[in-house]
Amino acid sequence: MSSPRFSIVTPVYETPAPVLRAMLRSVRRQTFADWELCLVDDASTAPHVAALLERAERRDPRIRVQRRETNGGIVAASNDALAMARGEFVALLDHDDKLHPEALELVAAALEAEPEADYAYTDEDKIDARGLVHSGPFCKPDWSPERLRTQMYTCHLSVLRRSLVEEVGGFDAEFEGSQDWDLVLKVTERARKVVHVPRVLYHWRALETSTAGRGVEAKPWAFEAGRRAIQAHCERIGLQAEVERDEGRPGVYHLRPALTREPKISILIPTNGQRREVRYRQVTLVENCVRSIVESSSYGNYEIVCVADASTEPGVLANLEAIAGDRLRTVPYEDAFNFAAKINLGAANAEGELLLLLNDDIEVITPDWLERMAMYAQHPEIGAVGAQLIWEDGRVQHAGVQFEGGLPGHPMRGFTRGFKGYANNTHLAQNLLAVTGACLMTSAAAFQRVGGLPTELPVNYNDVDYCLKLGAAGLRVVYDPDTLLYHFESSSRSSEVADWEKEYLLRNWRQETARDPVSHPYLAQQMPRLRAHLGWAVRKPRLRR
Amino acid sequence: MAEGELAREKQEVERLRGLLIARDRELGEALGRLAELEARSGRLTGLAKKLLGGLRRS
Repeated sequence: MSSPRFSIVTPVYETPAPVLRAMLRSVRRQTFADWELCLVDDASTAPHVAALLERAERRDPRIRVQRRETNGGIVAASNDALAMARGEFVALLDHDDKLHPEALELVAAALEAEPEADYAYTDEDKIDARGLVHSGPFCKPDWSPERLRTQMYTCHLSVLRRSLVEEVGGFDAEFEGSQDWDLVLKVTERARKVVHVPRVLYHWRALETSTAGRGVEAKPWAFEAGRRAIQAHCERIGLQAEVERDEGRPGVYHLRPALTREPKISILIPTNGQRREVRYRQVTLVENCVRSIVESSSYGNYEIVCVADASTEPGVLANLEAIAGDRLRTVPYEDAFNFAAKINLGAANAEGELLLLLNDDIEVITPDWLERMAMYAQHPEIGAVGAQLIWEDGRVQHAGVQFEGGLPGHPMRGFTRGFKGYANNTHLAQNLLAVTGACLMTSAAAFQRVGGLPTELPVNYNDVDYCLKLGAAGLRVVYDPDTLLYHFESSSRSSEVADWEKEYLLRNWRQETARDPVSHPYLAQQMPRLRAHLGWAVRKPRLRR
Repeated sequence: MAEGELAREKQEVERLRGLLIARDRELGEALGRLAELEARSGRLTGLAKKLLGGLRRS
């Protein structure tokens, strides 16, 4: 027998009869026929389990069943099922869940379109115990390695290339409870490509005993196993971090920097010595900014490169020197205002291995902000890191950049900091196409590689263009919500962007930004559209005879 | 002006600044929630319109 395209791997244990029947039916009703179902009964004592599995095996030759003599737990049973698998890809299906009838067909099409894909995942929703009511559709972003380190967002349905699953040793008992997350982390470390199928194709049954039903209370150990799985993953890939659970948000994790070395960071601050009212006090913005860096940062190895307009008052420069001492370097800038040119000039005068672009109307909040950003920026696959910026009154000014109609915007601008967004996305480190240049860390090597900031864009979009160039060079852009700073940009400031600036961006990046990988066709303003709720009922149109 | 009086005035200025900053935080919290709820209700209104439109057509 030739090997099938998909081996569906399902460990079974004491599954209620109607639930087991529904699972089997959902596989048999797949519109894509080239599959096998590898079932391992983990020594269930309920007699109906063996009877139902036996009948299913007799009924369809693609269904194969093995029975364990002793109960070994989810990892042992899953590994037994993996050992039975002969397919090119392995699809993970829990014994109490259901597949959408077109699940395998749509995954097969996505894999066909991306022959190098080693891992595919789909959207999912939850069903009640009877399988009648669908709720909580999870419309996921496209592949985001950074998000997978802070949330097991790919979860169901996961389809992995079998050769890679075997290469990494299958499921690891050390991470029981989060064994699937560990497996996906290991496989994606080696995957050439990952694809996302943006359709709800998996229905996760919310039972009293499942994480879908009761969350952390159902399997408290699973959340700790998840933390250990990410920690082990960070060590394997050389991300210098310690993983922490978010106690208030089950399933959300945070990376805390644990740097083994402190590369020099050059903080590039373009300024003209402007004064503004901050907290009912007139301040010179750049002095306030530099003071906050010097007084609040826990990182030791940095320099501050102030690129100052010729019009900057000498008193300001003298004050900066008094605040920052030897750390300060002032570079005079003589030409007309051009943010990109000023940053490029600063970079040319910088000594650091890492560069931090910083507006002068910024104030540090989190003392480990430089460590946090360096943790990401040092990684060879990462091009830029952005932070969460808030206004003086605590509202969000920047939580990443998202594109709509090919043009960038700031989602959640003006919302409270505590806003959890959709599926906790405001609290998760994640990959975006771009972040603001008001506070952006990048390696000097990456900066040189893509030719720095575009001086053709003196005011707007130069940061966005820079991030998109990094993306085109195969580097990821990271948004880290745990790096927090004040941005004293006026909340009433109109974002005046000239038509030619928009045209520039569209002309150069239309293809990359036409569909933002973070946005989802089923989401609007952080909420699932009607189509997402009805995803389980959507079938492709059949031709009438 | 006596030194003591100057110090008291400075203290009062700081107290008033503190009050204003706290008021801004509260206002920010309210404005933020308002923005979230408006976005949500805008979305729900759109959804309801769509559903009603669909029902009328059928």
